[in-house]
Amino acid sequence: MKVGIVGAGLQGRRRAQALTREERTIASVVSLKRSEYDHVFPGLAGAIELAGPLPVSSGDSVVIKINMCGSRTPETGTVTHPAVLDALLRYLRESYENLTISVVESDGTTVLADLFIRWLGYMPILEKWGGRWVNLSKQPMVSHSIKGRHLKEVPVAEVFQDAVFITVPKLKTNLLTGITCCLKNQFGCIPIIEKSVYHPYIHDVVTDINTVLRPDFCIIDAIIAMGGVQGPGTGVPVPFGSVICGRDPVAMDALGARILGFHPGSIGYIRKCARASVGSLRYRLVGDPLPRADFEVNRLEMSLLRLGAALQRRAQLRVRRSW
Amino acid sequence: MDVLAIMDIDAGLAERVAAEFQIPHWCASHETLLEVPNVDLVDICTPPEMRFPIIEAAARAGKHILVEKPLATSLSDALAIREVVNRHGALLNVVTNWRYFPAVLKAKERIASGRLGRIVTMNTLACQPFPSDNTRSTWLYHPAGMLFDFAPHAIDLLMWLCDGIVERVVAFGQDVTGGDMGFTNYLQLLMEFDSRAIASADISWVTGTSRFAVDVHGTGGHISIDVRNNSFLEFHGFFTPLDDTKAFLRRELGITRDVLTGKYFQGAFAYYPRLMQEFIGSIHGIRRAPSPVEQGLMVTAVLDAAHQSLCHGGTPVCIRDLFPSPALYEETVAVLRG
Repeated sequence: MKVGIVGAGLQGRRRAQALTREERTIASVVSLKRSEYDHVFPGLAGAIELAGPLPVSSGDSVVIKINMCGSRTPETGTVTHPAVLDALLRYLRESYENLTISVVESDGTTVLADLFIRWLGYMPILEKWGGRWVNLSKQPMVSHSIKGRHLKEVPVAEVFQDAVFITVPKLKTNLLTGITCCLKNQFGCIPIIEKSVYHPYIHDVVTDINTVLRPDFCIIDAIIAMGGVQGPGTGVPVPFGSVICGRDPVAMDALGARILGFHPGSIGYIRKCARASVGSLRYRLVGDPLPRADFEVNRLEMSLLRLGAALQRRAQLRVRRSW
Repeated sequence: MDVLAIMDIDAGLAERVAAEFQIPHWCASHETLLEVPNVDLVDICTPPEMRFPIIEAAARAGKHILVEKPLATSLSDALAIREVVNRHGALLNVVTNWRYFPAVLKAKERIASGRLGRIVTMNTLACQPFPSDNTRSTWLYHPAGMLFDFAPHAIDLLMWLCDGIVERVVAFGQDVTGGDMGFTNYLQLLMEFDSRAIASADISWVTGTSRFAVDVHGTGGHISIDVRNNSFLEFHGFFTPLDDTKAFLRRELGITRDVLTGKYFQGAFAYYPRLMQEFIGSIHGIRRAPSPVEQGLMVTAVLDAAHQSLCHGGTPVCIRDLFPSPALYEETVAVLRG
């Protein structure tokens, strides 16, 4: 429902406050369907339909952001599985006509996107369904000025202009942030290679990016998720057998956090994104019941390793300065 | 489970063992043993070369068979054994008791649940000084030496852990005395699996140490098993000082527990009863045989291939080519896969 408030005086302000608060507290629909990599399509299609139709029309431009955070093969739970991308592209092609589909990722500290897209088996899928590979680090950028928590300008690749944005992350633990899922996947939309410079401000930076690049639809590849304490690159692969869909990245991450054993409010960027009205922390789960899995997250160990990582960063900085 | 009879060609030895363990019947020939009423299962602990006639007689008499490893010393013998047991409808299981160490079982469970991702490489190390204490007869001295002694356990563990079929084998081996011992006493095997995993087995009778360890490297993590000490270590990503501390504590606690319960000193013998129970379960149709004849046959094929590779200076040998026909190979693989 679109509401226009006439008058911004005391009453108008109160109405606006009440209505937007109500909007914020509505639970977002998050759908979950059981699935396996051998036959992703039925589960993915079912989950998409349960979460509400994709905000796509024939002739649209669609940008799909996958997660390739290293040269790790898909069964490790590190990168979006090509089978999930295959099923999504099939769904788009079979449901809509004349779509321009771009699959995107950027180069990163540990990501050589142009190589990994070939090495990890995505290219045959793009060729099969007529998708275009776009390395965001090599795209013309449009700069968006924001009053962000850390960023004052967010560079956004031209490919996102007037496009429907679908984010397809993995469900993983993350040593730095606790978890990584829909919201943090947009961190990979920053075109610069040394994204690690943002690590000390990661929660603020992820929030800032999501205020500019909020996905229109989210699909979590949680068929093999990642647990343990050394995610997102080298955690423990955990078969979870699920595809999760939704329109609200905050609600999706709230569910993801709970699955991995975290309170959503304890994850800085989820909390901050909710405050920044990127989405709602409340979700209503529909579809199949939540499977059970042990994600082997030892919070104490994670904290100690985080401390170790901070010490390592400091030591590396000292070495760099001495150069 | 009752042991009703024991046989040895040394009748005096059979009598002594029967008296020690209150076994009602003892004899000096397997034919006599097979005539003892109510025997359902025959446990064959003779050297490999002597097994075929015993297996054949037992199968013909309608007995099920537990047989020591290796099933045979050549693939042709192993195929003949399979043909005999299948013809008579007997069930045969090869002894694979090293699988039952809790550390190994845990590794199997973790690998099967996908926690290591895809298995890329495996290394097993089975080194020990010459086993004079349990090698007092001459039957063991096959020219390939310990290839037919301890290697079957190592190969079986590798195949079982990754649930794979070995396709190609390369082996290099030597006699540390330059030929005086007359058999291979240290060797390395390299195996290529159908899953594209690669495994090495380093097996020796001449080291100053005694160690049986298996390392499994997956795309998603790493497992290291010290089998003799029943110690299991798994880590993902960097092996941190925290991992090291936890592993040390777990290992010491485990060893202390095993020492206090006496299991530490029994070694792999502690796990025979479980193997036997599982085999009996398969006879009753409750579960699959832990190591059926096809499994023993495939291990024998790997041993045979390694032996041929040794004889030809390290030439790669394809397991499929050793089978009399491709159909027979496919049939064996299908049974193992099934």
